[in-house]
Amino acid sequence: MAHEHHEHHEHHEHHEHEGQACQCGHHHDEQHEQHEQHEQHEKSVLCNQEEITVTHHEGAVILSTERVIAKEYSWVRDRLNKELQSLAGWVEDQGGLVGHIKAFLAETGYTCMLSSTGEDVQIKETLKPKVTAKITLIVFIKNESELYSKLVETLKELAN
Amino acid sequence: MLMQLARHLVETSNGNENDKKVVIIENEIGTAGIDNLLLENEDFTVKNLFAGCACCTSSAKLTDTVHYLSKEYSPEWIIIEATGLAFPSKIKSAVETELGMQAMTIIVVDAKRWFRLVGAMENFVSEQLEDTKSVLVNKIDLVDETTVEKVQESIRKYNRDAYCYPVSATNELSTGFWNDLFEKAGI
Repeated sequence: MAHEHHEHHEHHEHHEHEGQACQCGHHHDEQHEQHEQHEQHEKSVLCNQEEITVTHHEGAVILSTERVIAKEYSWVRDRLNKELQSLAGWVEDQGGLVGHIKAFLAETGYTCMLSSTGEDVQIKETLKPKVTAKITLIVFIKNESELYSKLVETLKELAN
Repeated sequence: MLMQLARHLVETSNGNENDKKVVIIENEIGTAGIDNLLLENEDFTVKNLFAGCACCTSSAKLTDTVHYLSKEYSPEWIIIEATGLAFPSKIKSAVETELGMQAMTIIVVDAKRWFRLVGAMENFVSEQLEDTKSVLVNKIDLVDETTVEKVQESIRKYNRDAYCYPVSATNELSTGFWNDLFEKAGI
């Protein structure tokens, strides 16, 4: 039986690794129908996120997405800074116009379990740095599909 | 800039201590909210209007939201931050005609990119400037004085009644500045 996530791919044909081996090691065409593998897949760096949504308004194309990146905050910040600068430059080179390119980063990753069986409270802490990145591009450009591909590339750079 | 305005309105409020003085409606054109997160991080309570423009596709949602917020919080002020793709005069008109509220628009323009934007989409930009008395010419720290003058002249070509205020969002705008802006806007 096709998994719900698989339908997502059918509805959102832009998913970055569709039909190819993903960074998590899964292959969409071969493995998405197996639920256990699918769960693993959803936990991977690249595959655990929402799609890129595309809307249009007043001649502008608006791309929005959210990613959880299993990296240190400062690394993501610096990398995204560089990538968005490059993306804005690319838009200008294409004769397009950047309305706004925005991202918001929030760091998570600290967890703590406190437990007691009657006397002391045991504390178990873990740190697995994760950054949630919300990204929105508002751009006036003719070649929308290339813009989309550039954003996908940017997201891959963040995951690598 | 938005937060500076909100703080000014809170600080100069005549209302009761317990009243909500300012409510901010954040209109995000994309589906991933960003400005709202920034404001929430500054301890503001933000109501989002996602994935649509308040002046057209989400116009009904906007008036519903303003109506709801008015009843729920009775705020002295409601600030609507529109998307950069909105036509503020349409929002003003909807709030005034459908809700019977007094409204004003403040347009923020980018002094550094002004002529590039006008060159690429003059009709769009000129329509955005309609029916406003207050235009903040932002990012003056990034351009020279002559450019600031030229930007103001250009703006007045599209709206003769607009007062232009050269500003830099990196600097704190004084109470006197906001009072002057509100007075000239007839509020």
